[in-house]
Amino acid sequence: MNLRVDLILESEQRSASVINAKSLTRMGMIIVPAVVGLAIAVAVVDYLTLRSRQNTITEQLEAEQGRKSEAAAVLKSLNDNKAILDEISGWTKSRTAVADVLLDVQKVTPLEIQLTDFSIVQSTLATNVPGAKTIARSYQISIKGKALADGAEKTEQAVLKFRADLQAAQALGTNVDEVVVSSFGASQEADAPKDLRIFNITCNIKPRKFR
Amino acid sequence: MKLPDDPKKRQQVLILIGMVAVIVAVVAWMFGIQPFLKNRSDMLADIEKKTGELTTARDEVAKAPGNREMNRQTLKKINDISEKYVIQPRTGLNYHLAAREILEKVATSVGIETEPIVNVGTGSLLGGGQKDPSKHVKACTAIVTAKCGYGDIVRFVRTLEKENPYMSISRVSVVGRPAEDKKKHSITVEVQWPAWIDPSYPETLDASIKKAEMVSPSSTPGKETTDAKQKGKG
Repeated sequence: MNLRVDLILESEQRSASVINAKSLTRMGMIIVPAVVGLAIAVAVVDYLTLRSRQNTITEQLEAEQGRKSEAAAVLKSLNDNKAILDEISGWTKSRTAVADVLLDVQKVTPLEIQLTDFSIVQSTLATNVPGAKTIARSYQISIKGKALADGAEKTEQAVLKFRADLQAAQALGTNVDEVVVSSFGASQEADAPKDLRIFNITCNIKPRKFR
Repeated sequence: MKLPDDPKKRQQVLILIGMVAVIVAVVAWMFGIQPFLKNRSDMLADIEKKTGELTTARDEVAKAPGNREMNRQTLKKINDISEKYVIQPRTGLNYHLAAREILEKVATSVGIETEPIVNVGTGSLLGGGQKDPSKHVKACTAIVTAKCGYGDIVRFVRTLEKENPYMSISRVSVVGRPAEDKKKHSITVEVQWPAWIDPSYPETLDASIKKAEMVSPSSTPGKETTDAKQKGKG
């Protein structure tokens, strides 16, 4: 029979292992402050580096301000002058060659038709294009005339052909909205031939924007 | 320091140590770590913002010589148009003489005898007191009346249009006069030229061109300032 006598009180008993609460506490007391200290040191160095970078960039930016303001002034002047050039160029962009219109009207007028009154009148209107308000030029053409052919039907056909030829004319063509015979009828003059017709043709030249 | 042997007291001491540690940690977080992190984050944001501003500033500065040259060319184009095609008042604000001279010259060249040109005026293109979006140019309008053939008026209008691409014919009216003269119609032509709203703009333009040409296109903005200042002093 074996007898084991333990004379150490329970409170006096200690672990035989190297890793125990006491050693961990001692290690912790050294490692934790060391880690915290290292972290603080890293943070301070990082902070100082950032501050130095911030100061350098601020100084560089201040040094660049003068040149930047001057460059901005040049850019502003360029944009202002471009706007003026655009504005004046609009005068040529928006215009319609009226001489070509006059010539086309003369070319397509058949022998059966005599023009009594011709007018082309420009109107300017404000239009909104994305980002800017601009103006456009539009023209209204009004032609009054007399037509006389062999018989009323042929007279009417001559006027309709004149209308179609105007619509297809080179200077007008796609530049005009529909050419309209706004009035057509017999002449009210007492001594007028039976088949004489008077007519009025109108059309609008599509607006051309200044910009 | 030794912890008490009594487990109850030892536990109390440990709890006290834990509480102190927590309080220290909270205080450190609130008054140390958090402000530090916020400060760092603000600093980073400021650096990023200033880096962006610096890049933009350097880009703008790098583009300045090119912009300056473009500006010089733009000014020259405007000046060229102004000298050739924009109607200029002769004495003070008198556009009448200038308009009459142009119209009579063209009329003579195509063989038209015009009636005296009296209606010359300037105003906004939109008219009627409407606000004109164009800020520098107004319209100078002159009305020509004559008795001539249709072919003459075509030549007259064509010559005007050919001589000045910026001028516009704003109205043409041809009315036949069969009872008086079948070959000569009553003609009204309204001509519109661009005119500077500020009559002194050509002088301003001239001064701007001289100023722009004083600066070499390849010079840096910093150098230009120095040069301009020295010239100003000189």
